[in-house]
Amino acid sequence: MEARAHTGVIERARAAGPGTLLFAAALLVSAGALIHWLSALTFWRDEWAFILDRRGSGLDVYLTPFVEQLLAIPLAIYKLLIAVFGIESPLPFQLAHVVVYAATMVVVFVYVRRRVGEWLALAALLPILFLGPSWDDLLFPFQISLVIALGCGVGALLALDRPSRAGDVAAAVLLTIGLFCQHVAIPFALAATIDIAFTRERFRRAWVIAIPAALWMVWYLGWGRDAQNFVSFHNFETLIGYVGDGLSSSLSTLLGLAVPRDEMSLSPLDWGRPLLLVAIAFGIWRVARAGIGAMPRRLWAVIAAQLSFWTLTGLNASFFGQATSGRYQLVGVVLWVMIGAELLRGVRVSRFAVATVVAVAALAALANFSLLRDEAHGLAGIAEQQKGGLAALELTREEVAPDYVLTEQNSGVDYLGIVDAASYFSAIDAFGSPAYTPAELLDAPEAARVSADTVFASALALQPRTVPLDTPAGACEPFDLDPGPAVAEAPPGGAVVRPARGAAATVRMRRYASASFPVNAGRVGGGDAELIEIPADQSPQPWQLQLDGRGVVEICAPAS
Amino acid sequence: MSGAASPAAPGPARRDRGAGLRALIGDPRLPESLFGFAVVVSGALLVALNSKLTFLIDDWEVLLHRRGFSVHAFFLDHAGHPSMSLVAVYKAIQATFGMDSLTPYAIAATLAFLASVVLLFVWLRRRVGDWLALAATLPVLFMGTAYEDLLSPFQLGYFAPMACGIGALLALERGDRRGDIACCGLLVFALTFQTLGLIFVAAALVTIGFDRELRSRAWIGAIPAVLYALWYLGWGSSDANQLSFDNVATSPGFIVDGYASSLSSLLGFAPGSGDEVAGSLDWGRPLLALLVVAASVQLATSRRVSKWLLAALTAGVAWWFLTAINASFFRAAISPRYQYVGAVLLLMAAAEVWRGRRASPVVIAIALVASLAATASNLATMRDRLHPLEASTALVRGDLAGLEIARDRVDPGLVLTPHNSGFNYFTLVDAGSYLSAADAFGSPAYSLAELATAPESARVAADKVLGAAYELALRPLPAVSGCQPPPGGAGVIELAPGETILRAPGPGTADLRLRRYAGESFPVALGRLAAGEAAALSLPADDSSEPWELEATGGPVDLCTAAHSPRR
Repeated sequence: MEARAHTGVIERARAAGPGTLLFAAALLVSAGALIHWLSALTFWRDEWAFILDRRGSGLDVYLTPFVEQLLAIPLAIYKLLIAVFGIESPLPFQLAHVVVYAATMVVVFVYVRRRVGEWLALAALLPILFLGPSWDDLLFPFQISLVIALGCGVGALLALDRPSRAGDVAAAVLLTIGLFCQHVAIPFALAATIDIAFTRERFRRAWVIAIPAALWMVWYLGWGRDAQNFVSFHNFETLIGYVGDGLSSSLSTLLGLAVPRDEMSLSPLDWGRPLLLVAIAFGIWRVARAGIGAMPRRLWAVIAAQLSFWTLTGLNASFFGQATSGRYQLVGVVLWVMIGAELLRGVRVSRFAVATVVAVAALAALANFSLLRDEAHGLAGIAEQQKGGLAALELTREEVAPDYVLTEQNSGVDYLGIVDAASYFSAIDAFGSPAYTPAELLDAPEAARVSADTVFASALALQPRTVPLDTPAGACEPFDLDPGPAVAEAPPGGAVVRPARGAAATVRMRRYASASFPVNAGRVGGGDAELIEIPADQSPQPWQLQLDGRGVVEICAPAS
Repeated sequence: MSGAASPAAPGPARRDRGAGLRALIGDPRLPESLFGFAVVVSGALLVALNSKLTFLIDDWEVLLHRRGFSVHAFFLDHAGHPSMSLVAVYKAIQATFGMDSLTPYAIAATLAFLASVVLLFVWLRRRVGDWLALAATLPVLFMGTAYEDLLSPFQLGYFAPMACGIGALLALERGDRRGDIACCGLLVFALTFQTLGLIFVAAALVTIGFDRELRSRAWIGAIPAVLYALWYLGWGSSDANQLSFDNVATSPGFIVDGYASSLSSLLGFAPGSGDEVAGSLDWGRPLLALLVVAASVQLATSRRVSKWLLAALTAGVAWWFLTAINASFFRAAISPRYQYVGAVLLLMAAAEVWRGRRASPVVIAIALVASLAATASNLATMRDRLHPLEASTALVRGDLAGLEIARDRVDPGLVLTPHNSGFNYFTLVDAGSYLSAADAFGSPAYSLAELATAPESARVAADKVLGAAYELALRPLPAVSGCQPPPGGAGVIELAPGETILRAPGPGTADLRLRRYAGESFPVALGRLAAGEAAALSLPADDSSEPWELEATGGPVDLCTAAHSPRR
């Protein structure tokens, strides 16, 4: 039986046309590139909420809304991976994300290929495989929630293509999974509803929608009702513009025209709005030419999905949820592709036109790829900073306050206020640490060491104090600053910085950084000295002081 | 007494008038004559406008640094491009007419420009008829949105290859041996002006490939391509380009922006330069989208994609692609200097899409009205953009006048920079090369008499250059004697050539500045003298009788008679 199935797969692979094989090759390239780029990253932002704030196993852990979303299944995946692999390496999470993304792309490809053939399906998918403007979906494993919901939504509509009991069951299951992954599945549930409503068996098959909807409603009434959201009358007032902009930006994203260039700023709307007019004109022309009755019923279903997706997003819009936000474009782009496939279903397209479309798609993919690559490099820099900052946090474990929270100001990275010392230590005790080890930190990139130093300073609460010049101190070493800045190792326990008469200096500190002194330790002069107390921690690395100013300034050990 | 004609029945006179009008419209000589008239007006206007200007940037590279007749002088790249024929034209004019006026160069460039538009007219009329060809070419003839081309003779480097390129495609259209040879020759000639010629090589090869005659006729494109490759291997330089992966990857966006920008420029929507030009895309993008929709409908209806459409599209895409991969802050798709080429190639493709389709009189009338509106808008832009070029011209002529006044003392290695001259020559103008060329070919600078009455900016520029050329600075002195307040009291002090000894008696620190030709400011900063400090200032004598004037602010200065060495 297994051998027969295996043979079937091989037969199908052999039967696949060149367009399908090219898609498979592009998919492999995409997956390879994503894994390569992701391997330089670590856990980021919302992932920390899964890791730190959703410990335990009660029903509430899974069903409590994440902001306003139901993310039970992605959370279960994270918890499973954490239990099996720990959090020392994010690789298992990244691999899971890439596998899910690739599977979703396959589902979309199959959907489009059934309607317009493999070459146009290839053209449709090429820019999506490298969708740079949606880098925060592709390069952020937390978005596995959105990707699964998207894949399940498209898969459900694919399952409904063949009116059979098995297809209906598959659609119901996929919609349920999707709804328990992210709200992105709601527009697809609406599309499925419209699709079934167009059939004669609409009432007999209503359970396909009713079951997932009922389960989601149970969640909503039990847990989701009180979730935080941004729905407002203002959002309602501006909804039409938001929907138009969302449709526009996903169109320009699909065509690679939302990628900014060095010499000129570019908004996704710049090309998006004209393109939307073209798309609407083409759609009307196509429907008028073929006759409204001749269009497949699925067309109206996917149009409804697209409009409802942007409507729901618009109603919940906020500063972080604008229509041009990259993370929304993946869904918008896939739905545009599905609309296009329905519009062109059964149309004979000349070879020249197909070749032109594939060429345009390849160019769009190239543009999107370049942005994806640039963003991946940017995220890799953030990951280095995170691993440096977390290493410093671990090295100050005995001294740092449990409620100490990592912020952009004290670490260089915006953790959205999610990571606090106590939760982090508890998690790494249980699952291992993703931070640099002390030895790794020494060899880490400068940005990581700078981040570590800023975390050291804030976690140890290094607060220089102005003290009188005659404050008792131990041994002193004078530095003449007139020839240039001076650098000295800070004595154990801290230092008293004392300016001579007429001298003044700014004081900066570092510990692991080598190209700069990231910690501002104030200024001496005007008849005052400064006392910098440095608590001992687990790092053997000494602090260095930099004095920059004029005259002679002494660095003294604090009085014993 | 004849009775009035019945209103219901048109009389013979009205019928004749209507027939006459139709005959006039149908007569191909009318649009031809109108086009010819427009060409003459455009040529006269462009030469007249250019004659108000002078050499600004790129011209200097050819005028100053390609002296002699060595192979190197002709074949060396200009910003990465071949420019043998451009250099030859410049050299011929420089040898014949000198370089004291821009006008002969402007005439040469304008003739090449007009030739390119005439050939464009020929291309268009064969496809969409005389009237639409006239409507399409009118805005090009007065394309103020492309002022960086039309108001710079150096853009002969664009005009000539465009004329050659369009001519090459027209020759290829003949479909005979003689046409093929002419095409090949014109492509080679185009490439001796600029890399731009390559886009027509690509277009020709696409046309030949479409006919499946690559094996027998590929030589038409191969010969120019090989010659270009040989030039590149010998003299080409990759230093000047900005090629990068990001530029290649984002080229599709650049290409469509380029087309959009050209379309709006052609229609007069692009205001000119700077930030405003970015606004041209606000119109250009929707207009291009509309054009693409209309063209798609036309192509879908006619079910015909001709080789000439592919050729024009190839040339257009190749043009914007080559520009895209070399893009930088100064080379954006909206740059005015790219719009002429973009607009011509866009018109060539559009004409091919609607080839053979009979335009009704109403369509022709609408096209002509739109064309006149676009032409008017472009003329207004041309007028607006002329002013800054005139201001730059005054600056340059003032700078050069300053150099010439200081010719006996200036360091030949002095390079004019924005700091010492107020204008960015991109290091192309140095004193030695300029003065040598001015001696041999005449000077475009203001004469001494002209400089005295030139705009203030030019006089400021001349003073700045004089300050740099004479290296004017205060030389500190330890002790001075015989110090007296200047004769006229505090204020502006006139200084004679030779050494002047200055001392700041206090109170306050004296900030010292000089001028010679400037009337409203003192452009040459000398430095400060604190109370009790003294310094010497040397002002060389030269051909100019204009005196230097010193201004002291912040504190007074005295004029002294002697300087003393410090006591041992």
